[in-house]
Order: sequence, then C-alpha cells, then structure tokens
Amino acid sequence: MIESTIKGIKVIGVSSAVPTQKINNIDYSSVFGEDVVKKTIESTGVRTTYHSIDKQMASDLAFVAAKDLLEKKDISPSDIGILLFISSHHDYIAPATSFVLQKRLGIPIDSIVFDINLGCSAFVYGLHVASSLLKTTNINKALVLIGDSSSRVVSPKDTSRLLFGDSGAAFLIEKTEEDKDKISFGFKSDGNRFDDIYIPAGGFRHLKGSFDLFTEEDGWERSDYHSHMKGTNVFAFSVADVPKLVREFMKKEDLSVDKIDKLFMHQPNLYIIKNVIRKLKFTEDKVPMTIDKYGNTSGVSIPITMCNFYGDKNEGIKNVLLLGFGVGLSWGVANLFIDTTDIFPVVFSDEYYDDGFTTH
Amino acid sequence: MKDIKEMILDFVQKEYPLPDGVDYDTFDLIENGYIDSMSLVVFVSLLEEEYDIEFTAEEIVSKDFRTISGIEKIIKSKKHS
Repeated sequence: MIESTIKGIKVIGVSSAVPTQKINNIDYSSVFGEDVVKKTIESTGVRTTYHSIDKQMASDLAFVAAKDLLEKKDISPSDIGILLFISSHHDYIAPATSFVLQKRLGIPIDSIVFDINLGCSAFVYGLHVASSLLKTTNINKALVLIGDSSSRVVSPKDTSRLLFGDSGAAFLIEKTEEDKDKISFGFKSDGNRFDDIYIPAGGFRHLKGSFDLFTEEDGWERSDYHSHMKGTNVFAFSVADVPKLVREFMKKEDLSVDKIDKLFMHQPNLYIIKNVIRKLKFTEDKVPMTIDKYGNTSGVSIPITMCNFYGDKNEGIKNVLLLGFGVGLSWGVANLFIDTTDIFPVVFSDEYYDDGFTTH
Repeated sequence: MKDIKEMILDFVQKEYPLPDGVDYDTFDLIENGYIDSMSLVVFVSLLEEEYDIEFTAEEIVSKDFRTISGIEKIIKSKKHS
C-alpha cells in the first residue's frame, strides 16, 4: 500500500449535479424482458438513474456542480489556483477538458490546470493530487471536478445499461495553518488488469473500431466503442482486494469502525457494497447509499452520496472514510474530517456548452 | 454448518436443476449459466458467511471456482489453513 498523510489541508465544499432525465429501470422490460430486468434490479439495487441529454457532456455536469459550489461558498473563480478535471469521458482528444472548464468558470491564467483519466477512484486520487500541489505551491485553493457520462458508453443491448447513471461533482480544498487539518491516504493500482474494464476503440491505438454490435460471451451485444467489463474479475477485485486495502489502511492509521462517523464508498452495485461493508465490520447505518436512486455514477458516486446524505443536514464536523475503486484497476482510501455544512444538496441541470463546432 | 457440496447445489439449483449425471469435477457452472457475474457476488457472500472464510480475488477468478468440486476444494483448503 502507498501511504500518505498531508497536513494543513481541508475540504471546504462538495457539490454534485445530475441531468433531469430520470430513467426508471423497470421500463427496460420491453428491451431485456421483465424477468431479466426484475432480477437485475434486485441484484444491483439500481431502481432509477439519470441520463444526460444528447449535447450534455460529463464536463457540463461537473461545470454545473462547480458553479453551484462557488456560489454557495461565495468564492470567486479568481481565488482558484488549481483546477483538475477527472473523468474517463473527456470532451476532445485534445486539449484536456479542464482547459475548457477553466474558460467557462473564469479561472485565472495564474493557475495549474490539467486532466486526470480515472473513473471510480477519482475522488480519492483527485483529493491527493490537488492537496499535494497546494502544499508545494503559493496557491491557497484548489477546485477538483469529476464527471462521468457512462450512459454514453454502455451498449443499448447490454443489461449494464441499467446500472450506470450520469453525473458531475466538484469539491474545494484549502490550505490552512492547522496541523490538525490532515488527510491520510492509502493507494493501490494494478495495470495488469487494465482490460478488466475498458473501451477498446476511440483512442489512438484503435482510433477506428467497428460500430456494429457483436454478441459477446455473456450474451449481450456491444460495439468496439462500448464499455467492456470482465464481470467476474471486477467483482472478485471489489470484494477481495478492496476490503484488504481498507483493513491495511485502518490498521496503519489506528482507526476503528467506532472512530469513523460515516464510510462513503463507491456505489458499484448493492451486493458488492453489502459484501464490502460486512468484511469491514461496518454497520449499514454508517454507510450511506445512493445506488438505488442514482445507480453507479463512477467517480461521482462518493461525492453524490455525500451530497445526498449531508446536503440538507447540519451535523457539524464528521470523521469520514472515503473509498473509491474501479477502472485501472485503481483503488484508494482517504480519512478526513469535514464540516457537513460544506456539503450541498444535489442539483439538477440540462445545461451544456455549445463550442460552435461544425464538422467539415 | 451446512455440508459444502449441499450448500453449493442448493444455490446453483435455485432456478434450474443440474442435468442428470452431471460430473461435479468438470461441469462449468459459469459457462453453463448456473452462476453469472451478478449472482457470483451473492454466492461468494453466502459461502464466506457460512464457512467464516474470505476468498481472494485469485481464488474467485480461478478455474476451480467454476466447478462444484473445485469450490469445495478451495473452501476445504481455507478451513484447514
């Protein structure tokens, strides 16, 4: 495990956004059959998700969350010196989407701006990268954006379509003088399993793939541009490797379940969540869930679950454990204190950016 | 504590019975649709709770985990280690 503790750092705000288009999974009965849909709802726990409209990208949702956060915190974009966008669904091959977001948000030129290509571990990795940058620069505030439009990359003839929702999130990190404001991290990455979750075509290695749908081993149809997942491998990773990292981290940090107020973990599906909770000996009341309402929202699932749970509550300062895991394979855990009044309710929006592009 | 083989058979035959005379050593439960990637999580949780063990990722993706005898062998080896 890679360990890290950063002192003098504080998360001072979290916002999340989803599109307005609500999808009721039971309505997929006409595509996959009622039995299959009912069984999938039961085993995944996903009842509804939210899907973007055609022109709405992952970055648009992250933008809405960022705008909401800056407004609610009354922070000017000119105070931001670090802007990161973490996603697997960027706007262009080049430049990094964070530059588009810099323009839209009005983040000054005196800043550090770049993208990170990660999925479900985005929050934990983004928190660490931005915090590390704050500690080594003259910048005081960092804005980290996460966005995923998984509905765009899941085949319409794949039951995984029932699992994934689109969303965006933003969080603010501030440098403080207090050593008590510290965040501890544990990380692991395994590129040997890079193709356990992947989209083969569309990048430069396979720029032109086939858009035709092919029936795969599991019986569902996908094209080269759709998300492919080795289900058994990913489930095995989630229920075995992930809890192992958390236990190692908690032991190193001398953390016990009773010291932690809430565990906000990635929401892959209900049974994986329950399996991980059981292994970590948490009770379900300590682990808020949004899998039923928003589905698997990839890197946004941690912040959206925080916003869904604490968004309309003021419970003071809480000790939270954050756990992200997924594509890469990448997994990470973080422990921090956060003021629950800095966590805002989920916002709904269909806003998108018109870049004026027309194809030649 | 339930007999391991009985436990596995109860789970995989919940919806459809196994074919007559099936060979427990070679019959692939995943390939033949008795366990899919969704039900696998439920199956793993059930076995882990019943026998108070934890499978590693390598064990879950191994060839042994696809057959009744193979799963029984993994559980027995974990109980004795």
